[in-house]
Amino acid sequence: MTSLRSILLVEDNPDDEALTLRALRRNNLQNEIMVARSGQEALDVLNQSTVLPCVVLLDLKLPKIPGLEVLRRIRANDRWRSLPVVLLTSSKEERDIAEGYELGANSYVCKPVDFQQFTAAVSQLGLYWAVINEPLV
Amino acid sequence: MKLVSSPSALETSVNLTLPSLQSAVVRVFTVVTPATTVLDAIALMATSSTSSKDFLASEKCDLNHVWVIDQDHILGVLTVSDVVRLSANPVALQQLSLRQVLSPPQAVLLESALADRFITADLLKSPPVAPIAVVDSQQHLTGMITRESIWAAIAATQTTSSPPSGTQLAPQHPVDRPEASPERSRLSTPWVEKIFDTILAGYWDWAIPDNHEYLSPGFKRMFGYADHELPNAPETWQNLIFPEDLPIVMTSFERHVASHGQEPFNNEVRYHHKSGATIWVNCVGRVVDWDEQGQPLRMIGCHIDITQRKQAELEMQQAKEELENFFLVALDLLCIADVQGYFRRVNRAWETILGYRPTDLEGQSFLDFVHPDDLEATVNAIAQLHKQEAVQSFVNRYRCRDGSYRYIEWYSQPKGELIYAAARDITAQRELEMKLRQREAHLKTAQRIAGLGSWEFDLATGKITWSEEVFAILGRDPTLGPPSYEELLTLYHPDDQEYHDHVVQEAVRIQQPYDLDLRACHPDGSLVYVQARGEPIFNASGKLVQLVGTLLDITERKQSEAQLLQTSAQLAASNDELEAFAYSVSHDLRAPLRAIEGFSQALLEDYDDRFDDMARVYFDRICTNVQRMNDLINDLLALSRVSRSEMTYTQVNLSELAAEQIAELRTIAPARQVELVVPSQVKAWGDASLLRIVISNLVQNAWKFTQHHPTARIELGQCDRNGSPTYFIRDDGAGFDMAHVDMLFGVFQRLHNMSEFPGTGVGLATVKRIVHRHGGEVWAEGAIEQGATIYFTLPTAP
Repeated sequence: MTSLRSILLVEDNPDDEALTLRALRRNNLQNEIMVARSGQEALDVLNQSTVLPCVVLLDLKLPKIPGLEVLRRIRANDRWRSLPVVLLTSSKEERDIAEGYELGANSYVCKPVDFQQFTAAVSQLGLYWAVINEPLV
Repeated sequence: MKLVSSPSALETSVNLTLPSLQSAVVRVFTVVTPATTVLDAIALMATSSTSSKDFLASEKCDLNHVWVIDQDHILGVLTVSDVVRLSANPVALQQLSLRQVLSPPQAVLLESALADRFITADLLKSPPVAPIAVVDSQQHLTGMITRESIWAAIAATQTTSSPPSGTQLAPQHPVDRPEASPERSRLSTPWVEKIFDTILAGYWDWAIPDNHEYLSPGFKRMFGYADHELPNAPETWQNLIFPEDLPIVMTSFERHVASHGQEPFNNEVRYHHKSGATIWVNCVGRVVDWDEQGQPLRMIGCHIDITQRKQAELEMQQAKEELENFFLVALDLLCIADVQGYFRRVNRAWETILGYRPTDLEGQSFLDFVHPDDLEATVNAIAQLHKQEAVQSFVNRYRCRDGSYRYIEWYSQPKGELIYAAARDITAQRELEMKLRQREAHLKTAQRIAGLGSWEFDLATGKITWSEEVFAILGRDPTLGPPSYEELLTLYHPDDQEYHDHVVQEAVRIQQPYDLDLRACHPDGSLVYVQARGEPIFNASGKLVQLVGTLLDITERKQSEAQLLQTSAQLAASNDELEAFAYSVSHDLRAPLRAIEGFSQALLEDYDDRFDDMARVYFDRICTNVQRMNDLINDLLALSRVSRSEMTYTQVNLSELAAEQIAELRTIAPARQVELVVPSQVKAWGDASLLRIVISNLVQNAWKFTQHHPTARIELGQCDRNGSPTYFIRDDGAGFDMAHVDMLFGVFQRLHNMSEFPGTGVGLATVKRIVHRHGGEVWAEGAIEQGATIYFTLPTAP
């Protein structure tokens, strides 16, 4: 079943944003894709949305409020606690991966430099969270 | 006493009728030359008194004096008193000459002076003790005046009014005394007896043929008896004399007789006193009458009480024996030497200490035994003794009988020609002192080298004692001596003074050791760090009496500690920077790559029809380079992770790691013929994940550089170099030129081009980094087309 709940992409790098959006669209997903370009903006978007997104694709390296802090605040908020969050980042640092899961990330995906791999990864992510995964109502 | 007491009575009578001094002059007397022996002179007194009875009766004469005249010159006079004195003298009379024993006359009067009334009065008032010589104008002796002759003259004027005449000269006793026996009359010279009595001597007179023997009252009194208590007979003294001494007297008498008087009769024998005490008597006598056959007819003599002298002699003998005993038993070396430096006497200690018997030394020169190096000092000491100055605590080395030397300390006292010395063997003490001095020097040196001082603090007196090094550490002038406790506090940094005081007070209170670091301020303003340690010391009754401790200069340590802290901080900062750098690389360098790659692909996909083949080739090149850049970044990150990761040492089996890596590579390229030679248990001590990276890199390299050979051999092994476990991985591949060996381990350094052997040039740099982190070393050996061997060492397992 296709859910029409939106996907929130938190990404400050416009190149990555463009490539990610392009990859997601390759699957013909109909879901609205909201883009926040900083941690603060992501929190604002969540605050203002009456219906929560089906997934948050969260980059770690963000200005002002870094990705892990955004994740911590989401998990600390009663309304957002069960919101699926996928860390989509360039870092393969063990420290980041460990801390991400510690804070309650649902998944940790390293953006491949290889374009084919990147497209495949992102499109599968979109498909999984927007289509296959059954979110909490 | 009786004689002396008379003059007061006399004085009155003399005043009434003054006798002429002429009447007191004795005109007959005995004269001898100085060559006469003393014995003969004494004999003359006695013989003249007995054999000249008739002569005596007719002439005023004197028998108690013998004048000694040398060619008309009056030398002196020998009196009965002298004889008595001589008989009490231990020196044998034979050894004395007349000159030695005679007394000078009390005075010499000219004949003409006899009429002088003043002289007469003077003499009558106080009669002379010794005789007065009367001489004529030629100084020839013409007469003599004695105390007795004056008495006689006075007595004559009192008993008869007529002037004394020569026929009336029987000497009279001035004081009445009961007579013991009729033999008394035989004594023609009562004065002698009087004198004997006075000096507590006794007189005897033995008529040998009829065996009568007169014993004077003094004789008897000497043994505690009154005159009448003992009969006048030889048995009397024979009963009183010690039985064992009787033969001495008898033998002496026989010899005297046998030698016709030449052999003197002179014995010192013991008598029993009435009280039971022992009386020593000097018994001197002489046969004075002989018959024609040479048999003795009469013998006279005297007894002199020499008990006191004998007692003194005995005591002296005892004292001498005591001294002798001390001399013999003394443990110290005792000797008597002369100032010329020759031994006279030594005691037995010389044998026990130095090995010499007294006979070895006596007569030898003292200096012959002195160590050559001490000779000069010893000669100087002897010179001092020559000046009659005592020498004390003089030490020299003295040769033993066995040739070794011992240290001897001398105390010497000169006395005239002799040196009395006591000495002591102080070799052991010396050696101990030397050892002690040596230890002190060692300790001082050790303290100086270690920068460690020692101190003591006496709690009762507050006295502080410092070793030299403490002065040096705290920068205090040693001539000032150690400070008081209060002053000590001021030597420390103001911020540390209270702390130090507190710690010391607390240590004393709880009686426990303490250990603290302090800063001390030198007078020049410099600061030193010290570690002060103290321990309580208790006396026998468990009372805390002292603190003793050390002071260690830890300035250098403190400085290096500070430096180390600084370095550590710098290192931590570098690590943080490295971390931040790596983090940034992994994010920020990848994003543009992704964009380049991504948009290139987007171009190809979205505008596919507009690109010709050449354009596609260019896009491929872009992608290849992006991929390569990505590999470089990944390898760099791996390298940085190697430097940053925490290490955990365990036992690691390198054989297994190599086998796993080869297996992995074989799955990728199963067609390759590669032989792996690995002993089953090559084990190392290190961080497992880092060592895995080392083995992976090295095996991958070996795999890679053998890829152009149809078959290959890769070997893992272990050898030992300089004690550290050394490992190697060897291949038989492309190898390298040893000229470039230095480049092998540099980051991004490559010896082959990409088309030959792909790679980033980070692998060996990573290996080197890991081995260094383990404290090991890594190096390579190889030759072109002859393979390469990479060696590395790791620490020994604990």
